[in-house]
Amino acid sequence: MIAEGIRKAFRTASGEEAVLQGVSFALAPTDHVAILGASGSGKTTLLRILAGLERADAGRISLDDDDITDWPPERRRVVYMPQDALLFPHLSALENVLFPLRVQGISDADARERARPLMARLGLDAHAGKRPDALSGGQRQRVAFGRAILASPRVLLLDEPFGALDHAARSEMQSVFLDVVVEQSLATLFVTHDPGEALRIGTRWGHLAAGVLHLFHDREAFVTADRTGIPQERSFWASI
Amino acid sequence: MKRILSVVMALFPVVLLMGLTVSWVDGWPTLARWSVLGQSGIPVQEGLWTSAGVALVVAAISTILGAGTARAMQASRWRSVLMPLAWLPWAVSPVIAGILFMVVYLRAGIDGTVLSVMLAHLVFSGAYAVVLMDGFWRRDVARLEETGRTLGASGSHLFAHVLWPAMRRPLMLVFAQTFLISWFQYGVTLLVGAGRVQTLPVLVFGFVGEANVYLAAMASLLLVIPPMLLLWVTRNEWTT
Repeated sequence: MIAEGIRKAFRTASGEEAVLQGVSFALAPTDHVAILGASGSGKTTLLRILAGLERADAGRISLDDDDITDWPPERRRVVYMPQDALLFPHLSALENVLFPLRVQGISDADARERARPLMARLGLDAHAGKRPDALSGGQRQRVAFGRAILASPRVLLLDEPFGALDHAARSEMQSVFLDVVVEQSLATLFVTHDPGEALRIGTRWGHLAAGVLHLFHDREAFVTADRTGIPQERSFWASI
Repeated sequence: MKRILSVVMALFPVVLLMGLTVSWVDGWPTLARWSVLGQSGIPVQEGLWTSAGVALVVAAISTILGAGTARAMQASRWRSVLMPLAWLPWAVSPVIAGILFMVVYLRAGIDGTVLSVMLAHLVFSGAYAVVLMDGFWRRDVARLEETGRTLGASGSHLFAHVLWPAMRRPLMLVFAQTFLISWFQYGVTLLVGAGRVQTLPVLVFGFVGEANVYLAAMASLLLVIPPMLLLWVTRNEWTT
């Protein structure tokens, strides 16, 4: 995926507020780009534009050789996973996971066959028949993740997906996530406000502030850049 | 215990009204007086069918219009102006609104008709349906739709597998509530119907005015039973 010069501004009572100011990046097929940014830095808007859920004021998005800037979300195969799992409340955990396969017209038996190993891999076997309101936060995220994987996305966009989980569940989900995306050779763009999570998940890193994206091409550059706040955090912990 | 209590409470008005319609004076109570329902010149039967017809048509149209209008308003920049308009019919007293309708219908030449009564009821029921469905659309429905789209679902698939299952219950509740609003409407019906459209509430007040206790109780019973059946049929929707 290549994004070039993405711009977006929102109208507010006090005038126009620029949220993204010419964001550009390239995402290789097996890249895991972790973008660090504080609340209000434009992370969610960027992901929504890439997924086709919002229109950019300017810029171009291409995927493989297609210009997908004006494509509707359902045509892009770019799956967006927000912080709250947003499971379909009337469907069971398994039915949620099967949703993208049913959309593709795959028969129920085939869909279940394809979902079985993934359900086991995500530890959801025992919860397959449960409705979302009967699942824990971690289980709901696993279901949302399984559903996203079975959509066979060309790019998976994750918007602080583990932000609402407790420390243990979060750490466990990060491990599962890494194992599965590596196994499936997925390209992912992962936004977070947690430097530790960005370091654990990413193979490349970026920092978004005030709508401007700064990319780092190696881990050392990322952890030593003042703009990320990581050096300050490290010195804080070292001082204790 | 709670179940028994709620059944007793629900049946209390029915039993009371039933008691008033049977004869206790000439020996054992009988349903002999109910035979007047079949006699000509006593318009209870006709009132029942008029009330049922008006309420069903009004509820059906209100539910469809309310769902569509509330949905369109979500995307409208004018939502903050339009929503207070939906509350307006309730801010104006039904009697005052009825007088306004009467003037308009007189000029249009449709006063005193079932159509005029339906149109007047629609203003109240339709506005209420918009308010109720606005609450539905403002929840996570739009985000669930977005999720479905990024997972590859087309418009028809989204409607069949995401929207309709989520909408079914609220639509049923809106239908039940708008039915009840129309079913029990008295002041507006009396003014707009000009005494020529005899719905059950109009008849009940007429019988009470004539001090005809038996017929008033009989008509009241007919007025109370259908809403109670409706509440019984939709009981799970109200309590969960």
